[in-house]
Amino acid sequence: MMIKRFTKILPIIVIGLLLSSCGSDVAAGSWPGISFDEKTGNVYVAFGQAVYNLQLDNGAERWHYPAERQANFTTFASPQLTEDGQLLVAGYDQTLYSLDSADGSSNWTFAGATNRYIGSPLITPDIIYAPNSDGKLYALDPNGSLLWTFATEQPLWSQPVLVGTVLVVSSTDHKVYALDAQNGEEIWSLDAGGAIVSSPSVSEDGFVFVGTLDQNVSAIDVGTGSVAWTFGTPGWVWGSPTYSDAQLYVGDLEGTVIALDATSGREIWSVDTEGAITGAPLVLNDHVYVINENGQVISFTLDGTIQWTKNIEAAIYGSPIAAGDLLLIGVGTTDSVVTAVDQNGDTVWTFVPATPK
Amino acid sequence: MFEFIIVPFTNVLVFIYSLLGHNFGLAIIVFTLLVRLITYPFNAQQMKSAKAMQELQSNPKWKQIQEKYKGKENREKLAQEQMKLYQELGINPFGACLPTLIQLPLIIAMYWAITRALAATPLQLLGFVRGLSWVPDVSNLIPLNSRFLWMDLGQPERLYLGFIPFGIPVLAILVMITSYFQTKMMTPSNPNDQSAQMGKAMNLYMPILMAYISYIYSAGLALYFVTSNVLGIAQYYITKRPAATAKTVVPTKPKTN
Repeated sequence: MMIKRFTKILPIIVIGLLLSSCGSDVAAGSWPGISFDEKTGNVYVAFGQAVYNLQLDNGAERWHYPAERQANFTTFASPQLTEDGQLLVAGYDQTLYSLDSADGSSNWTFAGATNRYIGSPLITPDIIYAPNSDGKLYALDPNGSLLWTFATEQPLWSQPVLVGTVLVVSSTDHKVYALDAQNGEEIWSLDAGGAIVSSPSVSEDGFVFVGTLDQNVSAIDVGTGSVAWTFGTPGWVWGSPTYSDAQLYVGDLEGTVIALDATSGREIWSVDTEGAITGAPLVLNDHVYVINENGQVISFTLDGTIQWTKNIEAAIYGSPIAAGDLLLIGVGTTDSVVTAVDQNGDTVWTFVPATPK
Repeated sequence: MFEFIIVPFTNVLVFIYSLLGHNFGLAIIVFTLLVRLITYPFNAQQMKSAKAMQELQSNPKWKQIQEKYKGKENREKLAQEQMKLYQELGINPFGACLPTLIQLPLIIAMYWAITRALAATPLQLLGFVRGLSWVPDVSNLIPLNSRFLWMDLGQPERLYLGFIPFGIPVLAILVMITSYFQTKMMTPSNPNDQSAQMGKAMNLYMPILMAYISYIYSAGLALYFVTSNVLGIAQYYITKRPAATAKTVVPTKPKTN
């Protein structure tokens, strides 16, 4: 009978509809993660189901990993280089991969985490610090053996920073933690008021700066764990504040770019752009560069004057990366993965993978 | 596709979460109760139709029609006579369909509301926070606490006991059991050969399918299924207590002169 037949088909329709949208959500989980090695001139890009090694001058691909597409391999965190030539790739499959940075061959893997890696690991000579969405920071030796873990209450999405012998970790549980970098013992923690999804920035005089989804930026004295000042922003702060020469540059989801005095937290200038800013502004050669969700790449002088605006015609997220004389921009929402522009805003090259992303 | 349901679902779910001490499991349970209350008239109609169809199996006229028009060549005539009898007795044979049709977008919306609320990637979180226009003080709630009892509501549920080398899908098992009982209540129990066979097949097929969905998708969705099934079973027993309604009571003795 028709009703019984329909009721039989119904669960299949349900599974089909659930599955049809499920895959696309993970594939568009985040934007490309880019890193640049000044010594070798290599560019590394993590996007979707592969990590790529590109030449800086023309964006040509040298190698990609994995060579054959693997269903479970997905990565977006910018790959990180060790001193001995390992490339650390953090995956959505709960695995940290060590590859040979020269040819992409596999060295070792660490599979001790229980959730996705969203943020990149921090590399120091003796210890690799890997933040995971299971809320734990995993400290490994250079061969991938676990040394210790530190647990927070919610996912860790951002790369920690080192301030002398203190490791500063920002968590989506609203807190900033200071740990002994060698053994992971907590020194202090403080509630920053909102979830923190990106890394702190560091000044020369021992302060870290964090932006939160509670619409503020705070300066924290690492030595005492106390807040020096807090500045309220118009929108949620997703990307890291950028510290340069006693000034702080911040973008928010309202598209506002703000320059602050890093010592007092006083606003120096602010400019409204047309799209949400999810990354840290880049300060390079006396200019400030930001990218926003409206596809704009904007160059400011240090006093907040817009010098040029380029539109890439795609939603762009994250931060521009300085690589030689170029700015590398992750464009993950079209068939182009990375676009390189010069410091006048002209496109130099675009990377489109030959292999499926 | 279902944004017009998913967005309100997400907002209401998060609002309930904010009222219930940031407990997402409780928020799903309470939200399911609300959904059942709103769909109560449709579910009541389904139960009424199911009950009427069950009682129809013992109606002498029904049995007469089945006997008279059996065989493939009489299918069309059989269908016509059945429809006439439905109309005569005031039974809506499609009364079971509407609630089932309504359930489909509700399941899809609930799955996406849970997935979005427990945003696991940066783009998911960005989309999620932008869709929360009804919830006050959102920044204090983000990210939502996904732990409930032993489960992570954003992941498939498994209970790990030290002495067993694999995780036990407790919720999937509960979904199967509760789906079985709920389906059994809705299907005819009369030992008419063909319909009893089909009824038995449905009693197994639906619970297994729902258990499979619960096994592979997030624990939050499985929790919704269990809660909805338990409420459905409770509703059935509450509505079953009064005597059968006048419209659907069928005479058991043929009329005599």
